Amino acid sequence: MIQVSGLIKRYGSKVAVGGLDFEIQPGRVTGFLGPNGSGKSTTMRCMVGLDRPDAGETRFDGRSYRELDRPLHEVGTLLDASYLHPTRKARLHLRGIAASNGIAAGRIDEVLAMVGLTEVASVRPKAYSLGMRQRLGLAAALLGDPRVLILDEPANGLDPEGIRWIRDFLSYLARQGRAIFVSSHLLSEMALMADHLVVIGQGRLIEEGSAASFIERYAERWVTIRSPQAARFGQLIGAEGATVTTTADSIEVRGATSAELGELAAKHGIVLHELSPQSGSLEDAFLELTRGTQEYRTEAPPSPVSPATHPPTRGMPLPPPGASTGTPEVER
Amino acid sequence: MINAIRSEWIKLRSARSNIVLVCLAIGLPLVISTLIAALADMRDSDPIDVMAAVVLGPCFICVIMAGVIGVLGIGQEYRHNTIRVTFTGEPRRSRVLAAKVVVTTAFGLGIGLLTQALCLGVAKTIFSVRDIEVAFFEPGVNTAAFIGQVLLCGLFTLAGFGLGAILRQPAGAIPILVVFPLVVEPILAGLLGLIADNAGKWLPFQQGIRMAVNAETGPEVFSRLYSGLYFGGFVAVLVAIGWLLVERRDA
Repeated sequence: MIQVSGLIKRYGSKVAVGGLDFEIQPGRVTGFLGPNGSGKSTTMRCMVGLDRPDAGETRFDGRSYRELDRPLHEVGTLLDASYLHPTRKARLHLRGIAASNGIAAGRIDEVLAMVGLTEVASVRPKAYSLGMRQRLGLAAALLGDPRVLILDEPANGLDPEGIRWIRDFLSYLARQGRAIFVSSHLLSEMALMADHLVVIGQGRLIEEGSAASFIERYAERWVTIRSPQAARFGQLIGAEGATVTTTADSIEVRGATSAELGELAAKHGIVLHELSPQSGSLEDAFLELTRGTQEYRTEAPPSPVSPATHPPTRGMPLPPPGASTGTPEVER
Repeated sequence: MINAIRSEWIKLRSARSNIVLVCLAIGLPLVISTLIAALADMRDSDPIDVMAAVVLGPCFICVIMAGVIGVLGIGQEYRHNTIRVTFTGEPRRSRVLAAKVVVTTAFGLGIGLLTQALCLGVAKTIFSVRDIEVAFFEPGVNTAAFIGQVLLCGLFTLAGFGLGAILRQPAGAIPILVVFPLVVEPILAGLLGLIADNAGKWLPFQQGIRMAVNAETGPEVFSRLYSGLYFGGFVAVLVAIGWLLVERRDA
């Protein structure tokens, strides 16, 4: 078991991690979620002793990372796929790492085969795509056949096949009893992969629990109804106190369960074509939970404007009034 | 520790930049020695001059290259962030640093000795083919200078390592290592000479280079041994500062 307790890391006056406490259990994938700049990478670096925390510690079965004799046999780490010498061939990159922990050279071929890089093992990484670098980083993390994997955005840069592969691969490793701690901004992937979630914002723990309970608690839920008597049924539902939103071909009801709505329809003889409970995704839940903790925010994109109200392009002379241009006249 | 040394050795010999530098460190002096031995008439030359012309002079290139290899030994790790991979493999940083010191210093000494031996051997062969009898070794002085320059290679490698650890960027450390001993210190020596006699003798790289000068010195400057110790002390300070910073800073 990995125990992170009271972790604090400051850079000057900025608090990157402000007192984190959580646990990572073996046999499951623990997802690490947080907006950009929330302290995920800093936390991971502190866990393996690369950054020195101002307070707190991380214990791997009771020992700090520095106390691990041959750490790659205990903990595999992939923090950034770009941590490569561009002209050192992939196999030699792995040999250098393996030698530091007394790992036999034969293991290098095994991990290269695992991540699908056997064919390009003698190629210099400067010719690698980001996805190939991720795979090489994962190969390095797997060298010591560790019981714990700490991975920072491992699916970053992978193609859809690669993303599915890493999802299945990490789930497979977790089923072997390993502890997998993985951060990702691909929330849909996390929803499919993670058994447990640790959510942080501005360096502080916001939520920790199972992925299912996370969605259950924070994601919006509603019931979609399609009926030839939608207008009448909507009025009946509204009279019961639930909120009704009308869409093009259905109504959405918030504040009532599908069972309650089904009984209400039966009671009033309403014909239903669809009565389906809906819930928001992990992404919705995540956005709801971390609202207000984003370090970097963007404005919503401007809504499209019609040609009639579009401002004239700068530098392009406008045609004289009444002149035919073959396009709608620009309003000035 | 053995694992750490093995890892550092693999890294040192597997980066293309190091391979290029070794080729230059050995190749350039060898070409210069070959040309001098092939073209110069050194029939009646003093052994001290012969040694300076075909071995010590050309091989100073190797000293500089060894220093650059020392810088790259740690500077490139920071530049490409592979230091993070290194420290996750061996989180006890002192062990990594000790392994780097052992490997890079041994490498510097090795290429220094190899380059000088090759230059000496090639020059001897060429002079022999040209039927020119040339004495290389004058007992005492030349042998000491020959050994002194090999040691200088090792110390320059260590100085490079220290600078690389302090600055963490080869682009900053390499110019300092090249420009300071070859340009800045000679200018400083001249300026200091205006203030006090022999004040320039306190400049560390000039003292280091004295280890490889094949002439004994008068009482006004350090002896070869003390020059070496003085420069060695300076390099030790550089390495100690670099070591401390690597231990304390976030990787």
